[in-house]
Amino acid sequence: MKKNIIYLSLLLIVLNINIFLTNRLACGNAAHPGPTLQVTAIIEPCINITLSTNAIVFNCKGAPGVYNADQPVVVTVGSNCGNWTVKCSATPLKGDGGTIPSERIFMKNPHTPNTDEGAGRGFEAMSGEKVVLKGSATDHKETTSEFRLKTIWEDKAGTYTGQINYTYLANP
Amino acid sequence: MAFVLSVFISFFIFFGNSYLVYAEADPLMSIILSPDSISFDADTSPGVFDSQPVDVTVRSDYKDWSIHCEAISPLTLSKGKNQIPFEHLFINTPYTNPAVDKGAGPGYESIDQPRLVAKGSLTGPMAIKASGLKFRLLTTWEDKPGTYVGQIRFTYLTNP
Repeated sequence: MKKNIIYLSLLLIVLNINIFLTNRLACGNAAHPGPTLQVTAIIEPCINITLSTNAIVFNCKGAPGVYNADQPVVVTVGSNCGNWTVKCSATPLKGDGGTIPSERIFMKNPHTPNTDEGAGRGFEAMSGEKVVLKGSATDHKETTSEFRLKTIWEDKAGTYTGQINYTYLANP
Repeated sequence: MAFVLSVFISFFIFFGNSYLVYAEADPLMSIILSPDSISFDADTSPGVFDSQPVDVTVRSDYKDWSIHCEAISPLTLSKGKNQIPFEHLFINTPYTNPAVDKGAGPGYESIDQPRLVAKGSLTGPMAIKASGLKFRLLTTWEDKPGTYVGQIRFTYLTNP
């Protein structure tokens, strides 16, 4: 009987200590929930196209024929879009002596067919838009394009200028 | 004797508890965020973008309190499964180290773990501005275009 009372007393003491400690913890440094901040981020489609040069020159100092541009053009693209395509097209070259149609400007890059259209294998006439580079989300992808001009006896001497315009099509 | 003592202690603690619980329910802790939502408009090449600053206003009857914040859900693309990780969401508080740059500028720390945003003591009957917070998002080329949503939870600790 005496033993039982001692056990019961010990049990009550342990229980009390437990309750006391639990109570202290509950009233102490427990983290309480506060307000919540709603966060929205709107990421716009983005594509960056960089050209290694903003001008190329064909120095046609000999008889009519095929002439290389003074330098290739490196096109570098960064995009967060799932799929994108960069294309380019050429305007006719205009000068005092007349016009050289864009069909006589030729471009070679990994996307042009490996055929000879009159300016060498792999060089494609720039009649209309031509694909320069394709890809998906990336910080950096590049390609090199080489250009050639085909002159004929009818092209009068002089300086002709035109533009090669780069455009892109992106699909988020 | 021990039995009598333990019964007495039980009586005291049980009744004492009831009294303590009642007394500690009274102190007030009110936290107001202004604004209660923020947005980032990443309209250029990937990089860091700021949202609106957020003011934390507190009214407290506690002698000591502190407020922490933590991102509880990553920024998730509303139409898809793409996410911007917690590590790319940064906060600047009076308690972040202005000498440290972890990729989003000096004084900005990512919210991938709880960050202290404010602490103080009794405020009296009037609410006070306890802290001013700035948020920054770091985007990469891999973050697909679209609208991402997430949440930052604020919690507080008190000492009566």
